[in-house]
Amino acid sequence: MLTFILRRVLALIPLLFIVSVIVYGLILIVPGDPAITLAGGEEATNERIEEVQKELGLDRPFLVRYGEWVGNAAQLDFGRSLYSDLPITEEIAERFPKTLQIAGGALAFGLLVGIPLGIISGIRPRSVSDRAVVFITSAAIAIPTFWLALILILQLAVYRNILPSRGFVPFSESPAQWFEHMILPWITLGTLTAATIARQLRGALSDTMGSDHIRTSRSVGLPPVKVVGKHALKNSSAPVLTVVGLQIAYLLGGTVVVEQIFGIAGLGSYVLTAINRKDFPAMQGAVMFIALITVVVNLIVDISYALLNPKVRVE
Amino acid sequence: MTTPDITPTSATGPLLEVTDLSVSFTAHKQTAKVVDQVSFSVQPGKTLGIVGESGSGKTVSSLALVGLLPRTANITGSARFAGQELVGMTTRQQRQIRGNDISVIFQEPMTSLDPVFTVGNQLTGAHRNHQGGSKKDALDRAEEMLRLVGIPEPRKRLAEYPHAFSGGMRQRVMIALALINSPRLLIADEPTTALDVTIQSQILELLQELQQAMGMAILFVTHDLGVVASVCDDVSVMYAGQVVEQAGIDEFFAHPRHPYSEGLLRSMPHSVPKGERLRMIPGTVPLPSRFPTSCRFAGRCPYAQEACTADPIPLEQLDDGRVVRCVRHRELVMEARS
Ligand code: SF4
Repeated sequence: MLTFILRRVLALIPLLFIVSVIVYGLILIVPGDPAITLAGGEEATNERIEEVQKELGLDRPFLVRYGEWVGNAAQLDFGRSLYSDLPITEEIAERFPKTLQIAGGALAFGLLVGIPLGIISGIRPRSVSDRAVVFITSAAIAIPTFWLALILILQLAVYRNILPSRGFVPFSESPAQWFEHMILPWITLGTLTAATIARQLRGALSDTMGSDHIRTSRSVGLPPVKVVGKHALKNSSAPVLTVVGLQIAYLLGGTVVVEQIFGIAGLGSYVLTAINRKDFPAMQGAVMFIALITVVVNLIVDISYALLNPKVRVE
Repeated sequence: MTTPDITPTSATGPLLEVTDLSVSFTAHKQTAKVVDQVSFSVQPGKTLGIVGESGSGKTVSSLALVGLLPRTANITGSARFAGQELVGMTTRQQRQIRGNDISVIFQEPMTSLDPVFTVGNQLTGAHRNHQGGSKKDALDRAEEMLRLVGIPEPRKRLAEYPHAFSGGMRQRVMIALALINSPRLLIADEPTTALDVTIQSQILELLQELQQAMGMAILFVTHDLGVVASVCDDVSVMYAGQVVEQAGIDEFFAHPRHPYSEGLLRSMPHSVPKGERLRMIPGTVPLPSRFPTSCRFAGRCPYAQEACTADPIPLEQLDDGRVVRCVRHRELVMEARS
């Protein structure tokens, strides 16, 4: 098992290398030169622009700049923001917890809603409850995030005033208010996750329920709680785990929209702002950081696979 | 043991007495009666073979006894097991009997064990489900069972997953799982069909040994008369959802009374003298929706006459205790070997 984990970790190195090249190379394809923006935009003089370029090190060859950046990034040092002049790592560290709270809560919502729905429909395919779940999840998958957010805000915040429509209150300040402010972002972001998990679990579970070993579990007289909760669920967990891994990437990305809608200053809105301001180092740092998190999450998913399936461990 | 746990029926009469058992499935507003008024009985500690081709309803009738059919199955008739009526039991009652008093082993050893739990986990789960008790006791019992079914180094192998076992070994584990609570009846549904010939006979021998040691009765469902000949005491032949012949094993092999039985016997490889061709029964079992109202075998029977296709054929109880469903059984003289 240990060698298995070690091999997976080593396999990440080339992957992260490729990601870093892409992230850093984004500079080359994004239109506009940050030096011009910083030098004062349209009215900037050529001397001033050159000065700024030198300051940023943009006059040096691309590969040299990349090498330096990657070397620092490996130590989680992404340089300083062109805009605020603060270390980007610090800015990320300040904003990421909010994003994590949104994405984590949305994932929890997805699991809490998706797994029961998946079980209800998966254990009895084509039953009335199954059809209902299929209908609901299809609708949930089809609804665009921003539209869902608008409906939720209108219904629960504007017309009824049950929940706040935007903003963020730290947990340490007031857990109750923190929760109130997080509910709508969680539901907005987590609905698609819940539907996707439910669908995946439904498919996996209905296959498993028809398998010979489930018949065996029933034949030894195990109660449904054991047959479904122990045997069928564990056998159906691999595909669900895969979508959970994919969903985490989606959730981290999806926070960009949700943070914008609900006015939360997390990492998603940080990336967006950085792009608008042509703050390349901030953009690269934040995107690289998100990529890193995604890769680590997928590593964890891979390892849990092996824990769930004895055959993977052997291979 | 001061008070032996023997109910009156099991002391005197059969352990399992099935009477007029019918099973039908309804799909798309059409009802198909897959099993039609089947009766048979199993004596305590004895083995009854239920024989027939696929589509005969033999597996359905045996799984109906323990509630392992899909919930769309409609089961009528009676099946008394040790004085208890199995038909119409609640699912909770069925669960108490399943794996405890009546166990089942299946045809597919490769897929019948749960791949993501260790063999030990599955065995102890089955044991504790019915007996309760500590994990340690259950592990000891599981080890004992693996030793009993002939698996070397049982303690060590309890920690392994099914994929570490060969097909024959998995069927042994499956047998251990079925017998861990010392059931009084074992339903063996084609337990050797998927195995190599040499392993087949090992498993059959093992089942017989275990039957002697543990004293359970076996309901042996198979299409293979060779298997019946080596393990069964009595045989019940099913065709198209009905019982067509019942007899003790020796009389049956010496003188089959039903043309279908004769056909089955003649298609056994070693029943045919060298140089003669194996004679398979031509045709296949009709679908339940096409079962004729008269003799269901008429379409394939070499002795069919007009009388065979007029009315439903009754099951006739003969003087020697045998049972046959054929209008011509008195005139026809049949032998296993031709
Ligand atoms: S009743 Fe007629 S057709 Fe049916 S088995 Fe007997 S002889 Fe054959």
